[in-house]
This record gives sequence, structure tokens and C-alpha cells, in this order.
Amino acid sequence: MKEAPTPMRPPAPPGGARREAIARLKTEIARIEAAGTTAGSGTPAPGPVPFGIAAIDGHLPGGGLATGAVHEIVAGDDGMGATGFALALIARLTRATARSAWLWCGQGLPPYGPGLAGFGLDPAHLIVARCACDRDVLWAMEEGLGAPALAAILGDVAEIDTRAGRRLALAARLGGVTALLLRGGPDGQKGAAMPAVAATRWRVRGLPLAPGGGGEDGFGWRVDFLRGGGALPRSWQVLWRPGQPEAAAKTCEDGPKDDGWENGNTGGPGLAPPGALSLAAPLSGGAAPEGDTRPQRAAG
Amino acid sequence: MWIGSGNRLAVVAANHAAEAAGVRVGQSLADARALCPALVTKPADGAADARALTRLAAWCRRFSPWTAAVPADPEIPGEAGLWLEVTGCAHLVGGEAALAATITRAFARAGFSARAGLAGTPGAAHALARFGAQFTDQDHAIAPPGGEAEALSPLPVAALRLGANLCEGLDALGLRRIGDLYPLIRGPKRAVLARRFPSLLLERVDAALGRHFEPISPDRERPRFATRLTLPEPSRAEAVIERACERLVGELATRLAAHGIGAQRFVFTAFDTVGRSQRIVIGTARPLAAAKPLARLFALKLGGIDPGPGIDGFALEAFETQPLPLRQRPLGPEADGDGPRQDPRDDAAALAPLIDRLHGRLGRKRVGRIALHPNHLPERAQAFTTADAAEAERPPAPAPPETGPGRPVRLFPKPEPVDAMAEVPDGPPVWFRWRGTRHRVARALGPERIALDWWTLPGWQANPAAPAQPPALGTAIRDYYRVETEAGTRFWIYRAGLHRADAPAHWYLHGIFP
Repeated sequence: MKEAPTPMRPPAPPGGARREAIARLKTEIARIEAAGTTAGSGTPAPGPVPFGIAAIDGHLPGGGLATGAVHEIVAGDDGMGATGFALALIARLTRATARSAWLWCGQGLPPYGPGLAGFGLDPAHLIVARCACDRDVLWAMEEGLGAPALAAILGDVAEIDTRAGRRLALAARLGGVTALLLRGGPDGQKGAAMPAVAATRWRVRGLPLAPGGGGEDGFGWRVDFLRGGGALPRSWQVLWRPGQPEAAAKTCEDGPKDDGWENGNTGGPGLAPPGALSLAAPLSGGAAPEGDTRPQRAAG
Repeated sequence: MWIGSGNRLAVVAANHAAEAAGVRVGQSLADARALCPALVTKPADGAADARALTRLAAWCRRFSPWTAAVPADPEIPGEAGLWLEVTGCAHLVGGEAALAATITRAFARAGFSARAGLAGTPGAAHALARFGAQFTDQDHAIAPPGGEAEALSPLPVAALRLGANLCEGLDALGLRRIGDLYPLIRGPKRAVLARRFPSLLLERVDAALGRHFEPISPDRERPRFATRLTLPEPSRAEAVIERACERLVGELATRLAAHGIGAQRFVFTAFDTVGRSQRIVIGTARPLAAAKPLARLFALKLGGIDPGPGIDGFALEAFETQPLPLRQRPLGPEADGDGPRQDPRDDAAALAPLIDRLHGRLGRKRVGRIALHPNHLPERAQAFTTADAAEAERPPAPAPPETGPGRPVRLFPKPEPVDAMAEVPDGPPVWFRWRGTRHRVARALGPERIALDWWTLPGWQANPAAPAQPPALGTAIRDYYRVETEAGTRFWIYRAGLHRADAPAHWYLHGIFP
């Protein structure tokens, strides 16, 4: 498009200077946007909450899971891997926001109380809203997003349209509360795609641990980062080890060839959860790769 | 009806049949039973009686604005009753006799047997109501103005509310009727009477005869929180209903806040032109007096009002009122904000509005919390409690029983039967079929043996008369395995009972791990 030069327009800076200017403007816009979103609520949302896994945090823009946003977690199989991943994130969010209460809304059954202990969550802090239909679930989520006392909201939704998705995203931004939309799983409908209004979208499925792999107490997930924040799709193998204060394995950066679990510190000492997310082996790029995803114990 | 007083059980009320058999109020329970062996007796509930009397006193304000309930007194039989100060009220229904008849008729219609006494002093009215029956065939007795002394004269001294001991003392001297006392309360004999008996006697006689003023203290009327609005002409517009609700909520909230009172139940009524009324009831988790959250709660439900031919009146009432707890406002710069700021970490208080709104749309039974129970049986280790109960009496949370991954995040309330094949009879399965899909087990952890409390099982409870045999050893147990399929899904499955050579094993899937 050709534009007539106006006297007000500054002369276009050449080459590298232009890139620099664009980068500066981008940070400026980000700053203005951030200020605009937190102005509406009394409690500003804290910044992104890191996963505590360097590889994932490094890949995500902002260095972690954005708060005051809606994130979608799709179940990739019939198991509860997506729920487990969401619970692990909620445990992180409750610590990062210093709020204890969180809300579950859905049509089926809420998570089993004694099972929450494995994620360092106390069932007494869970508010359960059993809804009769998807409309009620979305309504309850929107109400919860306006309650600044909540750390997070976990919603079990089968059907959602663009309008409802946008409403949720707006409510999350204004309220500063983070919502996790759980799709699919043993009770949900598989393959129901959400319109692109969630800040990030993940797909989680169970990952078999080789006998003894990752210790006997642990859940392995294959986590696909599908989209969000302009970052490229990527996949990781994540090991959740409940009850281990600082055991958090680190990544092996170069694919499935060398994917042993190593110990390493992933978070500040104050944030050390009773269970820690740990990471192994970002799978070779792309979100859809199939094949051998089983982590193997490294020899050395 | 009897009540224990000291070491004596006394009759405090008797119905007509019992009185016909000779039972009298004030008798000891043993005497009454001796007189009438078929007597049905019940302990009296003084608190409930007092509450009922208070309600009746409030109801009686239709006859007089000045009413009071007299609670029962175990020392004075038949003391319980109602006072009505009817000065200036009788002409409204056509005179004193008509008033007394109206009142007793109204009580009879409501199922009470009541007697009325009407006199210039409370003491005389009290005596006539309780002891005047023998001199009139009506259910009320009236002393003409100034005629109290004459009307009381034939009544027994007990009519003066003196108590059993004092009555016996007077009886010993031959003073049985109130008239017998008249010569003694004037002149030099009055001093003798005062020395001999407690001052109560002279006080009561003087009060009954009007020589000494006895006040009636009315029950304090509790403030009633209600507002109403009448439209100049009926309307069917939704916006009008919303505006009316907003305005009434604002008025009511101002009044509640002025009294420092919050309410937990609000009823909004819309009256339409054909005389129908529609109600919206809102309940809140904690006492509420603020207009804004209340208006939001009503906004959820206003759509349910059908304007019909047009609505011309609204009313809003607050129930279950109680004083609001005082909130301390922070000092310092934060105090300059508008209204008290809430600490987001102040869990229960900050969450109450959210829970109220969830209640409003989803229903009270559907919103709540999960309470852990110290029970070995997985399906009984948790229970859903509604938010009301949880907020009212939250039990101290027991320490989570397991910190490891020993419990799934999805538990089926009813374990689902699966076909399974195990390699060794009492080992974990190598494959199983669940919901039509065959899963191969790659890894299994366990078993974790959980014994059932067999004494609560249905078969055992069904026949308490015949001593049933406890279930055979080893049948009321479950061996749980955490299995991981080759696809990477982790399940919690169990075998019911020990392995037996003569019966196939029954496998169930009970939960899914993350």
C-alpha cells in the first residue's frame, strides 16, 4: 500500500534501527495493554506463573502460564492426564497468588477429594458447583472469574462457542483470575475444538512409564503445547512426582535419544511444592508427532 | 402435661377429659395417676410454651396495641396467659362484652380454649379470667368499672397469684375467699397481716383493687424490615420490574444498615392487577445488608416473573435477620477508599457473594465443598456438603490420609465390573476389558488390601432378628492394584474377595489416576 508522505511522519529509520523501533513499540504496547487490563479490578493479577520447568517456561512468552486468562487443556485419551496436569497447575497458581480457594464447575463428578492430596491441594479449599448443563458451567465460570478471592477455576465443558469463549476471556482479564478449561477425558466429548480465544491450548495424555521409570510413584504425561502467545507448538514429556519436595528432573534438550530423568532444582525454595513438575525430553518439534514417546531410563 | 419443680412432679395442664376424671392443675403427678390410671402424661416444654405465648401476644395486637405474654410459673398454677390493655379499644367492636366474646371466639377458632376476664386492674382481670367461670355461664367475666372489689369477693385467694404456700397459710386461718381479706387490709389489722405474711399478699390485694398501680409491660416489637411500592398504573415492562426491585432493595438496605442488621432470606413479591402474586425468594450464605450484591442476586431471578395482565405493586421483605458483625476498617491510606476493603485472603467473607450467586442459579444443593471422612472405604472417604452447612460448622479438616499418589483423582461412586485375566490367581491382571476396550497392563503396583466394614453391608443388616452369619472370611475385602496400561492410562482396579479355586474372580474398576 502506498501512502502519501505527510509532514508529521518521521522519516523511516533504515534497516536495523527500524527493527529496534518496532521492538521498542511492541514492548510499549505490551506495557499499555497490561496497565489497561489490571485497572478494572481491585487486585492486580500477578505476572505469569512459571511451571518450574526451565524448558517449558523458556518456551512460553512471559516465562510461564499467564494469569487472568483462560487456558484450554484437551484430554488426549480416556485417562485423567489432563485433569492431573490441570491440578498441578492449580497447585502452582494457589501458591503464586497466595489464595487458597479454587472453584470446580462441571456436569459430572468433581475430582476425588483424597486424590487431591497428591497434588498438595487441600480438598477443604475446593468449592464445587455441580451444574446441569454447559450453559450453567460457563455461567458459573464467568461468575467465578469475577471473584478475586479465587486462585483458579477448573471448568469441565463439552460445548463452547466463540461468544462464550470471548466472554470468559474478557471476564478473566478483568477479574484477574485464571481459568482452566478441561475438554474431553473419560466423560467428555473428544475432539471438540474450542474457538481460538483461549490464551494457550494444551493437549495432555498419559505416558507409560517403563518399569521403574521415574520411580514407582509418579505420573507421566505427554504434554503438547498446541498454540498460544505466538509461540510455536512443541511437545514435552512431563513427570509428576508427588510428595518429593525438591526432586524435579531436568530436561534433555536434544530429543528422545537421551531422555533420562535427572534431578535438578526447578523453583525457588519458597515455591517448592510437595510434588514437582519435572520435564523430560521435548519431543522433536510439532505437536502431533506419534511414535515412541516412552521415556527410557538413561544408563548413566 | 407435668413439670418437675423441686422434688415434686406437678400437673401444669390438663384437658377436659382429665379434669372430668378429677385431675387438677397443681396436683402432684402421683396423685393424678392414682385418680386416673389411664392418664396420658407428657413432660411440659416451658420454652416452647413461652414461645407460643409470645406469638399469640403478637397476634393479639389486632385487638389492642398493648399486649404482653405471661410465662408459666411453676409456683403459681395457671399463671400462663396474655395481658391485653384494652383501654380505648372496646368501643371499636361494640363494647367490652363484645370485645371479650370476639377474642374468645377467635381463640376457639384457632383451636385454643381461652377464657377472658376484663376489669379495671390487671390483677382483677387475671383473677376473673381464671376463677370467674363458676359465676357465669359465658367464657368471659367482666367486672364493671369500680366493681372490682365486689366481683373478686367470692373468688378463692389463689386467684391473687400468691403461690401454693401462701394460700395454705391463709387457708389455715380460715381466709379462703378474697372477700375474707377485705376487713383485714384496712385499719390496724393491716399491720398484723403485713407482719404475718410476706408483703406479696398485700401488694397483690392492693393491685387487684386498684389501690396500687400495676403496669403491663408489652413485649417489645421487633422491627420488621419490609418495603413496598405501588405503581400509579400497571406495567408489563421488564425494565419497570427491574427498576422497582432496585429501588426497594435500596430502601431496604438503607434501613437494614441503619439498624446494623443483616438478613439471610429476602422475599420479593409482585402483585398483578388480577390479584395474583408472584414471589422470588433469595437466600444468602451470611447476613447481608448491602444493596449492590442483593440487587445482583435478584437480577438473576427477575426474569422468572410473568407480568401477566400487568403488575401494579411490589413488596420486599427481609427474614432471618440478625445483627451484622462489625467490621474493622483499616487505618492508614487504605481507609480513604470507598467502603471497607476486603482482604482477598479473607476466604469465607470474600467468597460469600460468589457462593450466593451460584446458589441463586444452580440451587442450594449443587454448590458445596468436599469433606474428607476418616473411612477406609474409598467411596466413603469423602462426602459432599452443601455450602451452608460447610460455612456454618466446618469441622476441623482432618489431615489428608494419603500424601502419595495412592488415590485417584476420579473415583466412580459405583465400581464398574470389568473382565480381567490374571497371570497368577492372586496377582494383578495382565489385561482387562472396560467399557468395551481391552487394555493390556504394562505395570502394576499393589495390592493394597482394604477390608470392608461387613457389619454395615446390606445383607447383614437386612435381618437383625435372625443372627446372621458374618460373611465368610476373606470375602469382604478388596485387593486394589494401580495398573498402568500400555497406552499410558493408569487405573485403580480391585479384585473382590480372596482367590478361590471354585469361583471365578470378580474384578472391578474403581478409579482413574492422572
